[in-house]
Amino acid sequence: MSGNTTTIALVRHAESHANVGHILGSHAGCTGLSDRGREQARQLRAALLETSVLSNASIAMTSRLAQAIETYEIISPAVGGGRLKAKHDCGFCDVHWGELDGAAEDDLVLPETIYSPVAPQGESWVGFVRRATRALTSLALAAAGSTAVVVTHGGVIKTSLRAYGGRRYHHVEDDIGYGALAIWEKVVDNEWTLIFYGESNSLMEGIHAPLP
Amino acid sequence: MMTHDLDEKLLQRIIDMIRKCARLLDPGEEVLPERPLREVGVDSFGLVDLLVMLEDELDIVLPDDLLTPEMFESAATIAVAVTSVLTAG
Repeated sequence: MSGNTTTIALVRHAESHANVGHILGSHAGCTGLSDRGREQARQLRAALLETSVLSNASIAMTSRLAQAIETYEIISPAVGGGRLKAKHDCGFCDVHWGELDGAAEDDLVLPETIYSPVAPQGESWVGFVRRATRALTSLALAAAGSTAVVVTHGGVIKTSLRAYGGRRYHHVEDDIGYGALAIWEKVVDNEWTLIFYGESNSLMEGIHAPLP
Repeated sequence: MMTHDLDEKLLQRIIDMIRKCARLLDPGEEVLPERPLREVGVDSFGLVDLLVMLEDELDIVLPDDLLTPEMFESAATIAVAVTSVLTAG
């Protein structure tokens, strides 16, 4: 997976305190991984070490949220020979909740339209997907011919189905779990192919092209 | 601003971009400036594709407060919004 091939692995962060407590966690409300989340990240690291799937990575990124940064810290021995420091990019963050950052999920009133912000100072769905699409597109250019790994969030990974897959992956509706990953591959100027989408234990069964 | 006041070249560029994001257009099918985007199959992700395309190709940033259902009604309404950004810049 190098040279003429670009590989981008999008890892969903492991379970966080905010997930357990049903908190809307952006930059302030996210306080890192739960005990179970740390175990999920260790399982992912074991699977990555076993398969060497990201051993040749040369780019590592995370969102700016603690749950993503901590997940990367745990899996980093299995990425790029264990010497790859991650850059943090807000483009890969989950929805910015604005004034609801740190509030209970029950406090969220669903916006009227996809253009309406989720809260004052927060993002709309359109704004979030635009930001994530731009981050994914920039990464694809920066990673051309190499392997990149990003620890990010479910919404960003879903956005990748459209940003990289166009309409070919519209049938993929299931969210992947905490600590799971999606791996995209592009050979020269061909279209992106989703070569893996699932949990770390499935990674042990081998990389294959399940979709579309 | 009325449709006849809009820059024809800009309007055509926007229609060309809409074609790339529309799922329900037959090849060669005409897209009139006032035709609703939902009629030609521009879904929610298609809207974001169109938004990113507009910003990249026209080298503009459309501020969040301009992004409304009314703005994304048709090529003509998008052209009005884009024109306001271009003239303000």
